[in-house]
Amino acid sequence: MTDDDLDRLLSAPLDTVADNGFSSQVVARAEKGEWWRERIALFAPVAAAAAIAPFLPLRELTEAALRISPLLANSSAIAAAAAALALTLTLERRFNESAL
Amino acid sequence: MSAEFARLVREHQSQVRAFLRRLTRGDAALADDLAQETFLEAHRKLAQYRGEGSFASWLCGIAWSRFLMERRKRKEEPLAEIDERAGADPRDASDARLDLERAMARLSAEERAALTLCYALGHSHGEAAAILSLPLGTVKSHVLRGREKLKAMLEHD
Repeated sequence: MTDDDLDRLLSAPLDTVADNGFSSQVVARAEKGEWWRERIALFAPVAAAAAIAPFLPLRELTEAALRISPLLANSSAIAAAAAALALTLTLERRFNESAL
Repeated sequence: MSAEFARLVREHQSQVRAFLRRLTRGDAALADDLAQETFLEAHRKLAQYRGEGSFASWLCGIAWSRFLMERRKRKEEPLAEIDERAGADPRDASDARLDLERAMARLSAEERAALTLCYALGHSHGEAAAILSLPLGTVKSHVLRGREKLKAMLEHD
């Protein structure tokens, strides 16, 4: 066997594998996994919040929030930071979509 | 579930499954299990795909790491059983092709992967190194050594 023969043999494309339902099986499993991830993402924070709520100093937190809310609302630095955050998230999502 | 993901699976399933069949020495059932895990992991990590290299390369990288995990898991029961029918469907393979698959099955997994990526899948050595997470020099020597072993085996047979 010459080097060329071996190169030709090695460079031949891999055999095509017929789908035979493989793709739909993968998509079905992915959908199921996504369904569970969505439920967990939705309910885990709610469950965690419910678990720690009785131990939170709610009155003090409310008073503090009321005190700082007007300061935050009138702060141009906070507004700029929020705008930068929103812009970053939007750009990242667009980038991820275009990468596909 | 995006229709885009379904399209990607349909488009790439053959290549990923064929690559894994070669890695698993023709164990189609194991290769398909690993291919499923590969696509599911890709689905979970789609947002992490940054477009560096082709999507097919990214999938091959995941497939390779899945294969390595499986190999570690089966340390006691290695994947190394060489099946004389390994790697190719005899119904549509030529004698030369069958001989190649048999000889390929005798190489190390790293050599099989490097040769398959660089020859059958047309990747450069650099791309193969990125897919296999190996240094470029190591991939080059796997290709060189694997090729020499194959040549010796095919000439001997």
